[in-house]
Amino acid sequence: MKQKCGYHSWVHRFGIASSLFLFVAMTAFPIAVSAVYGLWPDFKLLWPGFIAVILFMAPYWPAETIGYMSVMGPGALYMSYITGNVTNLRMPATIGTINSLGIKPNTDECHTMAVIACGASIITTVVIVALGVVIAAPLAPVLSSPVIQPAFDYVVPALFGGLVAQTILKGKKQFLYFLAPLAVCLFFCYFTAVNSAYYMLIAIAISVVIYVLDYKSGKNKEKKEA
Amino acid sequence: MLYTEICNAVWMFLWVGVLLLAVILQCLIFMKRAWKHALELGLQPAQIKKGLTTGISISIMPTLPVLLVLLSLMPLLGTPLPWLRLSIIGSAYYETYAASTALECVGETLQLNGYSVDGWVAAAWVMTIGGSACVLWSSLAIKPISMIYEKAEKVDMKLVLSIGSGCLAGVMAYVSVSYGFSAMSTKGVVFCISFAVGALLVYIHNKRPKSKWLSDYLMTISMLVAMAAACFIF
Repeated sequence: MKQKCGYHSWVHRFGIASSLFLFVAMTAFPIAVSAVYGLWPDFKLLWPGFIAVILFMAPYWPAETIGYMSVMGPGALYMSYITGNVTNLRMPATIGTINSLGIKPNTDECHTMAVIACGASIITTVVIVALGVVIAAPLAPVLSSPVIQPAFDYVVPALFGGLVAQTILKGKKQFLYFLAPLAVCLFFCYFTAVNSAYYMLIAIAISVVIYVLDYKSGKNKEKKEA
Repeated sequence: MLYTEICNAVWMFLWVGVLLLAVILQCLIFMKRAWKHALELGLQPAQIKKGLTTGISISIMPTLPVLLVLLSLMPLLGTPLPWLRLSIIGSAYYETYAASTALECVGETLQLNGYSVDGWVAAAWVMTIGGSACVLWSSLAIKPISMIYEKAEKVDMKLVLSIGSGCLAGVMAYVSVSYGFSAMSTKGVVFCISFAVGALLVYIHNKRPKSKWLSDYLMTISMLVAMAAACFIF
């Protein structure tokens, strides 16, 4: 228990400290550019741009943090927020790993393996993108070739199809319970103008309620039989 | 003065390189500590290695679109700025929007050799500072949210596991719609092909539980088949 607490508090301490350090180093880049060339932007013109960009992504921050916490855990989330691409890269890498290892979500094992899977995923991305910078010229015609272009255009739906199948087809009950949040998402997507970050939270909440009710009814049955 | 005169300065490459090394160092420190903790929890070294290789293999193909976005932004913004943004706190979907918004604010348009150095500086400010705001959120919010889960664990662990399974099902429903069926489009077709291949492999794996490799490579196989199908269909 003591080891567990020590590890968990270390994750938060290191996660927050390293995130803030990288935040400062990142935001220092445009300051350095302006200082080196003596070109400071007119902030009176630029402030709506900052607001628009922050508001564009802000609804996803609470949705991802609350929704993915049970699967990814705090360590993987700290790392993921530093490199971005949380939904299309880090979350599938984590869920794919816990699926293949047969680990239950929201356990210490799950959150620990999430750190390892996410770290591996981040290093892979950083290395591939850096290689891309080095060999950009010969690589561009290959990647943008009309023959294989559709493969890259559809890589994200191709990734998620297999991931969803592997995750929800573990049993009849899991598949049936998946249909309720799916119906909720489809309803919000086609019949309302609600931002997807909000209906993601609604779908997760409904799904959690279904699972908790199932757990409670199982517990009541056990009590009656006892 | 055109942006092309400053956007590929050597010192910017060095800045980005050092930052990326810091990101890799952060990951390695996290992973080393998690590896030790996983052993303490009773996980076998082979399982941990499998987690590591799965994380790598799942990430290779989805990184290629990020690379494509980088290649498309390099002529427009130079190399260091999009490289920095797409490697740290960036998103393939978001950077073009951020750059265009910044340029609109200063009355310019994102086009090849078509805007001034002031426009480039504005884009650099908005892309990096606007895009980095999420790190402040993660630094402030992850710990309290995680603490709520930890407190619930002490009350009823099975209930927490149920909540975890519920969250996972909800997230899967969201990605099915968001990345598959958000519009009556070709995306849904590719998603369905990948899902069907995945379902078939799950069925075969359930019939032959000894073929462990199937569960290891299920996602990779279904993704590659769906991507290949996309090349033929579209």
